[in-house]
Amino acid sequence: MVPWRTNWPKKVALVVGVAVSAYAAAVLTAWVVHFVPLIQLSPGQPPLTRQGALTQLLLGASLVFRAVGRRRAAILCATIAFSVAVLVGFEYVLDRDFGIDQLLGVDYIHSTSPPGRISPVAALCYLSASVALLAMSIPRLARYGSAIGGMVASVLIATGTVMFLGYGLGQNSVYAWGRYRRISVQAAAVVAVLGAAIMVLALDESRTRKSMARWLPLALGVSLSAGTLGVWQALMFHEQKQLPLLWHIILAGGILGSLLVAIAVFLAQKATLRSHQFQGEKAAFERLFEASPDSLLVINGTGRILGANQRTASTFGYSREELLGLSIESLIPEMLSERHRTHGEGYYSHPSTWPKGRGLDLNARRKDGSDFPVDVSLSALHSGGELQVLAAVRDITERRHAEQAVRESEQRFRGVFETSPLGLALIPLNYGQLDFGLAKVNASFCRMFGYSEAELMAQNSLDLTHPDDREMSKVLAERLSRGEIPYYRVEKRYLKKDGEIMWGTLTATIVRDREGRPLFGLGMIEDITERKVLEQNLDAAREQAISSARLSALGMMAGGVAHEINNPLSIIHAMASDLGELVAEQGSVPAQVVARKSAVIRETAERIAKIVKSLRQISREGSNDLFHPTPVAKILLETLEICRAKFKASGVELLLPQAIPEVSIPCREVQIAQALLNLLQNAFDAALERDGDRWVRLEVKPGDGLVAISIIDSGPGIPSELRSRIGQPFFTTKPVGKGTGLGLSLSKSIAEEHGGTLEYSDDHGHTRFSLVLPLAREVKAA
Amino acid sequence: MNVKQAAVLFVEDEPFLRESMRAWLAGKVGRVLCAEHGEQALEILAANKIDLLISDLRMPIMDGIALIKKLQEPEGRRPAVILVTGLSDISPGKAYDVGVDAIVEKPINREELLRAMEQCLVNTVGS
Repeated sequence: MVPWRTNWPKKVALVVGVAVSAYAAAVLTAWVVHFVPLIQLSPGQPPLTRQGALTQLLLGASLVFRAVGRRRAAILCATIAFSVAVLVGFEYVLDRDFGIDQLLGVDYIHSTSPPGRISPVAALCYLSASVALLAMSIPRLARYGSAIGGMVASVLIATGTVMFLGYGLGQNSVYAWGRYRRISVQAAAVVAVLGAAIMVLALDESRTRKSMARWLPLALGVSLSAGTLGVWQALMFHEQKQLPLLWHIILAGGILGSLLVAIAVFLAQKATLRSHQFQGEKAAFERLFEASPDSLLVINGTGRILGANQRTASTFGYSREELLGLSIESLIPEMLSERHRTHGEGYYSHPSTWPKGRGLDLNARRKDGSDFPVDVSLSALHSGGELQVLAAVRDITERRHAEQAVRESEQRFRGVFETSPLGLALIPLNYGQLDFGLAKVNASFCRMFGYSEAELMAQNSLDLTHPDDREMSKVLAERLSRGEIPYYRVEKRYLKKDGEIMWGTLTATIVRDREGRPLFGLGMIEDITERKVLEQNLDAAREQAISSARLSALGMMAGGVAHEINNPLSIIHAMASDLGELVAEQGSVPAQVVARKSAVIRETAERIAKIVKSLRQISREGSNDLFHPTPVAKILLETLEICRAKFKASGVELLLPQAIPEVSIPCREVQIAQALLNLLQNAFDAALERDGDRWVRLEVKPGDGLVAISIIDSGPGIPSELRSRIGQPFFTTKPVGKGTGLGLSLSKSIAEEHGGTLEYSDDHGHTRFSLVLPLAREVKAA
Repeated sequence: MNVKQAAVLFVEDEPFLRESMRAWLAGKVGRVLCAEHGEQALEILAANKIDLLISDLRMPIMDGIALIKKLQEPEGRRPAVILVTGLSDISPGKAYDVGVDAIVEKPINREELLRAMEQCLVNTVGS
């Protein structure tokens, strides 16, 4: 069921339609059963014809169907009624009778001519009503349907009412011309009622847009004019053209009045519409005002609050009533109110909208006295000539906190960057490639290089690198840029501003964002110049130590050499003394004596020369000599020349092979001699450690392309726990001051330089060191 | 005792020097005996009355100091001792401690040696 309250116009249409149809059906029935009073209210009155009743029945039905939404049925009924009305129209135009009435029964009430025909006015009314119903029912005409229906209905109401009232006042000639019959009083009433029902329906449907139907003024004007016309026509007819000018004036006045009424209604309607619109806009504004996430305040020129939204109340802790009339300064702390007013005055004199956040870091104060930071933007509102300001106040506490957190984090990282003892540099990326420019450097970086930050900004970082290291730096940077390596770490040389070289450890990497896109390059430099210098000094010290180790064995042996030389000198001295004495005693010396003695002197001097030569030979550095095939025997004898005296003096027997094999080795003779001397020295020291038989034995054994020169001593051997350390630099078992700990490692490296080895083995409890060296090929072949 | 009557033992491992000195000593002292090293010298000492021992320091088998130390064992028949040293091979104090009477350095200055011999033998006259 359709609710009554909202759908009363449809109910009205329904009731009217049913009533009209029922009445028409009753009249038709009355025609059949000859119940005249229902057809003709009184004799002399025009009867309601059968076709008139039928048309009314159809129009009533159409109205009913329209009211209940059966548009097709409504159209059908209205179309038939329309056709009947049109046919009647043709009958009048052609002045012929189509006998429509006869189809519906016998016409037994002859009152007017032509018989069996509805009056032209009734036909016109029915035609109009059917058109109105059609217009309202045909979906295509929906847009104009109610307007057409409403206008037509207003005319129907006016004419129907005028005609009905005309009867009541005894004016039968309303809308009647000449011989044509008049409309019946029942039909006039039905027309008025039908018009009213259609009007109600049309108004209802036009009202859907919340305003009165826009066609209403026009409908009113037309209907009033139509009514006026009817009244005027009736009066004209009745008074038979007396004072015609007066009547014309009356007609004109009536129509003018209608026009004025229409205009008045039109204006009223427009005003209502505007009022509706305003109400709507106001409501929308209020919704916006309330829904704003910001606190919104409307302030007048003196800073009084005229309006505030709920957000303002909740943010500031006031009720909305308390806020009204309050000064805006109550919401702004004292110390800032001055500034605010200055801004405000500036604002009032230049009432353009302040953009938000334009340096307006204002503090607002809640009712409880607590402050909070806000962002205020103002915009002008012109209301009735008085300037008002809309202030949007946004609580930015959280934003402030976030900003603070970001600032603190930034400060922390800046602190780390700036105070780092490492030299840090940010290097910009150029299309993903490491540029060699510098985007940012820290204080340590500046200090290291001696440049100011500004000077460095203008520098190419590659220019800071030592020219010899630039190529390497470029290659590494390219690999890093291509992502082949996540970072690199390299020791390289830099050039300081003063031209000095700085050694640095550079760790370079590319800083990327979360998606892995490269942001910039980061270089971290540690100044390792001091360490490098120490290392170089250490290298020099090592060199020195090795050199002294090389000479150490020689020095040890040289003690014996002095005696070794002194002895031959004594011989020469003795020979010379013999000769001198012979000359002194005998005046001359026999030739054979001279020959013998001089031979001894020469032989002895040559012995001295040999020792000196060996000494000089072995004390040479020799590491840059060329390799020469040298007989092993030669090296051995020369070396032994130096040692012999020492061994003899200390009672250590030197056991030599019967014959030294005639083999040669490609070598630096001096180095091999030095290695042998070291081994002999060690063997000598070891032999002294034990009492009893003290000896050092030499063996030379050529093998498969190699020759092994072994030195075995009578010493106690090397404890097994120390064997693994043999040959380690600076490892020694000798007392402090006696050995350098480098002898064996030196001998070992000499052996390796010659493509050979230094091997240790245990020889029946005695120590055996073998210098195993490759033989020279040609000698082997020979 | 006069040098010319003295029996002298010269110990030296170097043959050329030994022979040269033997010839020179022969013209200066009563009797000259030579040995190559300490052990040989001890044998000679045991078999002969020797007034003066002139010994080299460095020698194989038995060196000069070892030889001089052995001399002290048969007390009373001890000859005067002159030690011939190389380049400061032994400190004079140590040498005198073991009973050396004089030290002569190599190469041997024969006049110096002769003075040392005379001095040593004069000191032994009364014994």
